[in-house]
Amino acid sequence: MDAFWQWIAGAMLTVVLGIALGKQSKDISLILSIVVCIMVLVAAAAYLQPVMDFVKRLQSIGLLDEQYGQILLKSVGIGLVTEFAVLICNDAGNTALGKSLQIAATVLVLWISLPLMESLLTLIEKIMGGV
Amino acid sequence: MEIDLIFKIAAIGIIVTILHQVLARSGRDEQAMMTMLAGLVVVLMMMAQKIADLFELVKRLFRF
Amino acid sequence: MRRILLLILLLLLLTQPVRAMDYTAPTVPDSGAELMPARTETFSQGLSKVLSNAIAYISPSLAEAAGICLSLVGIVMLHSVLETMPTDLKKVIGMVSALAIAGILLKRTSTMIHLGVETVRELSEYGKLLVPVLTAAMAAQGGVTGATALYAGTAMFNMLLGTAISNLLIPMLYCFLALAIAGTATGSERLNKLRDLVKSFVSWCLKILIYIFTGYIAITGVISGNADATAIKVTKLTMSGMIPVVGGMLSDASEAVLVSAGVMKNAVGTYGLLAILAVWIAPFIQIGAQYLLLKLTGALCGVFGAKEPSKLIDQFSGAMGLLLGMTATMCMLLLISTVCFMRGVG
Repeated sequence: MDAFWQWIAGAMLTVVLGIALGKQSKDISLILSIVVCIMVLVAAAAYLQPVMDFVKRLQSIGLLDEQYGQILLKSVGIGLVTEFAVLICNDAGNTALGKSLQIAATVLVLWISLPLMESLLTLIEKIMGGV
Repeated sequence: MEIDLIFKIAAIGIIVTILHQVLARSGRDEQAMMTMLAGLVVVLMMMAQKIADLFELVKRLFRF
Repeated sequence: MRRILLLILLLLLLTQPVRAMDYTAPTVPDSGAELMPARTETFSQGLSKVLSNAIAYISPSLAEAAGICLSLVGIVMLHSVLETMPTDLKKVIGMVSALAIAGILLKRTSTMIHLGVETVRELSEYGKLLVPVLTAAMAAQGGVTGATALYAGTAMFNMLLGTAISNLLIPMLYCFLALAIAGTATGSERLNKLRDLVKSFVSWCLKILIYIFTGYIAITGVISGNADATAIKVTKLTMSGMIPVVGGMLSDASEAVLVSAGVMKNAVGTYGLLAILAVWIAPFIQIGAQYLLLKLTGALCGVFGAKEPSKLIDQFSGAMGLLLGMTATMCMLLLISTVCFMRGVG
């Protein structure tokens, strides 16, 4: 739990430094904030690991094929990273880049979930054939 | 969470800015520009390292 | 606690000794045969034997159901991360999680649906074998007109319910599931309304059929009015509480069962009743367990704050509930007609 206070403190520090530097060089201030963002995310991810393991365990108990859970996991991962990148772009004032990243990520998630949709379709066809 | 890294980057930023001002005042604009760029590059390299760490972590965590 | 007491009271009311007759009941189909007791002493003893056999029989299926629900919780936990994201991505990943849930549940659900359809078909077949024997027995005792009326009614409704379930209601059930999945994946309100429409249509069909059947039986004068008021209240409360969808009016229809319970003397009838229950109860417990587990999972997932996936899981449990209603209606139809036959004999 102490780590959490560290993150908050670090973020506040960065904001202040960013304001101080921002007057002289906006670029370095931006890069500073990016670096601190990344550090906070990396530190938080350490706490995410056990949660992910638990979710994996839950999914492996019931699922006959790991496929479905894997796909969702990857989509969530893509979503998170994209969210972060898009916000950085917006911070830098480059909203167009952020938007195109978002579109790219949406398309990628759709592409990743293709096997899921295909197996669902085959399942439905099998059921329809039975009915 | 390496607080010292924050201070390092902030310090580089301040130093670069000061150098930039000094050089610009003494009329050497190109050198001022180059110091600015140099500082930017140094900080960028630090950032690149961190981004690589982040992506490694995401790949590991989400089983890509 | 009160429900259990009421149920025990219900079982006690059904205790009657049994005498042998010339007529033998048709043999139970395989699925029920494993559950039938070796010797039928009294109806209550036979019933408890069937119940205990059924419970032992279904535990592996229960484990599988529980496993599926756990993996669903895992998926919803992942989904709950989405709350932080921008809207386009949220919609797409929401769709992916809806499809993932559908993929996990569809296989299991279709197994359950096949189980339900098989059970209805077996009950219907067994009814077609049992009812002629009972008609002959009742006619031999002198109740010829009553026997023919009852036979005609039961045969007709047996066939009607059987065909309605397999040709109309089960496809509607699949339609309901498809609409639920599509509605959740796309978030479309129109699809959700269509889905609710299909669900109400299915439960309405079942209710209408059983109402008409009990009405017909009442008109042919086989149900007598003087009954033990307490016994009726007991059954009503138990039934309407325990069976989803059609429980309310099944409890009304079950008046006939309790009223005639006191006069069960016929070995054929008792054996037939036990056989019907044996065929029906194991699938009913399986589907019921799946229904309860899915409801529980849906509630649990609601805790994680993911509304759409938990609603989808609730829809799947609703489909299980409809299936329960269908099998229960078929079983009730046969039970009521068997008891009516036996009343006529006694």
